[in-house]
Amino acid sequence: MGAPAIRTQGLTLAYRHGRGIEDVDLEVPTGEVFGFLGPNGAGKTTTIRVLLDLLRPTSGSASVLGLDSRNDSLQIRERTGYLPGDLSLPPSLTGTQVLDWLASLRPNTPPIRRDELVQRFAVQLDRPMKQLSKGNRQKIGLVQAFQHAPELVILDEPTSGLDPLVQDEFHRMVREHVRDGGTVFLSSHSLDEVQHTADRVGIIREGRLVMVETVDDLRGRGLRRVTLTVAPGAGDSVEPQLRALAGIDGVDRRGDVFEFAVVGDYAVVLAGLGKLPVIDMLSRAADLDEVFLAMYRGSAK
Amino acid sequence: MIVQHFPVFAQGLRDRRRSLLWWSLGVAVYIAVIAAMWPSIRGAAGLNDIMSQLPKSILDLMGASDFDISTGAGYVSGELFGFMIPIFILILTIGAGAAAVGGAEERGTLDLLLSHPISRRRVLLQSAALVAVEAAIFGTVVVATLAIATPLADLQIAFVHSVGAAFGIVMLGIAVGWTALAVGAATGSRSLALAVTGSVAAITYLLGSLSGLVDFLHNAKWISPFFYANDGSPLVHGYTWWHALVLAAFGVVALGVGAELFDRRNLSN
Repeated sequence: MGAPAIRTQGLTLAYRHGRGIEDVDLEVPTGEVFGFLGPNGAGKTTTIRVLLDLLRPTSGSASVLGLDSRNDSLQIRERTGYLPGDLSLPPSLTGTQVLDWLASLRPNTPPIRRDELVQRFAVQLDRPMKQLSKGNRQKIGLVQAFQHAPELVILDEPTSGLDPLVQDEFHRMVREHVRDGGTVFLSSHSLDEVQHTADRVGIIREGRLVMVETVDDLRGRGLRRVTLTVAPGAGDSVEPQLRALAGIDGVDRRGDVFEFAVVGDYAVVLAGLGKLPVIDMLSRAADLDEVFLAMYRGSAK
Repeated sequence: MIVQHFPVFAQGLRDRRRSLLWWSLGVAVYIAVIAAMWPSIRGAAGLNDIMSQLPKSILDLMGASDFDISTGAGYVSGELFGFMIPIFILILTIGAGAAAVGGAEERGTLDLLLSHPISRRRVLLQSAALVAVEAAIFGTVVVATLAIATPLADLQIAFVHSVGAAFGIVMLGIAVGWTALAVGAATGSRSLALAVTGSVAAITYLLGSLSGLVDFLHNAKWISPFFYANDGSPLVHGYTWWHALVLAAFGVVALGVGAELFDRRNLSN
């Protein structure tokens, strides 16, 4: 059909507690894993809940799977799976009862993947929700979001409470979902978490979408972290030279050891460093949390 | 079948079946105890004389102006239908109505529910059906208990009158329960639904019972849902059936307003 899985235009919602969103233009093509990033309260959940017609935008519009989020919401929800950020499940129901109940709300799309997912995540089905840990409840939440094999899955902070092994399994499942032609939209406050899963990330901050980029571009944006050790006692004389050097940012000093980010041309920076009494240098890719922080500092200035 | 077509109703009934069972059992026992006392009350013939000597205003205030304990039906009507049975059913249906949408939103389960392909209106209507069914089950228990107790305690209550009286009570429960449902759906708050509906019920009850007493409140009884549930001792004289229409209209209007507000608003998570 060619319509993007999600498209918002000028999406705005004036909302209490400053959790609103302003003029969000977002496009997520089908077959992509899109990571929606921002600190708590930035408007991630608000945006997601507008897509599902739980909240109504003040202005602007959103379409999901080519359908209008207001007028065609039932069709959208038919074809979508959703994991709420703050998942509450009826405390007295067992896993089986919860999954049956939610499946009964989708008479047209039977839970064909349930058994496979239950096995995969080793979900405890026979205990009431109140006896399960947060992680185990979250697994039930994941199963219900995927059990009917929806085209689009919207996950709000999906890995919160999951132990690392389960997180790995989750990431595999997400990749499989897009491999099979599905789309995944997931929110997170940690870049580290989505960089292994997402194709692209959008960063939202105080209700505004400040950036959308592929994960590769974001990593490749000259963002290297360098740890530089200079000759003993040379720290004082090196510091002003280092700070004057073009292409580096965020210089941090501990004695004769410096840490900084390379944000410009690496060759130019190396040439500049060549004049210094370097005895060791360690360079590594900045992880996205550092990129994230750098972006934040950048847009806060 | 029910689960497939009315999932919210079916789940609601499953959630509430335990409290419904205990509530039914409680009201049956209560009715049985009251009925069991009738043979000895009837023996104490002086009681009715005392009652008849009390000023009408005092009786009005006690909600007992048509309390006639010279017959079994009058006794049961005054003891049960004047106050306790309406209170029983209101606690049941206000609780059910307030929990259904407002409660789900407070517990945080409404978000997940409404992310499925079911409209807000359907959720509300199925919840309304749940409240109505709970009220009907309660009414059936009342009728059944009276039917068993009538010959045993020689109450001499006509079956059709007990059906009529219970019907009035059921309609009261539905009208007020739907109001609680509507307030909960319109505001997203179970506690607000309980508070608003509970106070409206209490105030209209008070106005109704004062209406015979205070001149300027003379017409107040017409706004009291209790009046339409059991005015004129339905257990003794039969239910005024058109009163049920007033209660039905009240409930439907409340539900309609609630549906409209629910449909328009942002849900909290």
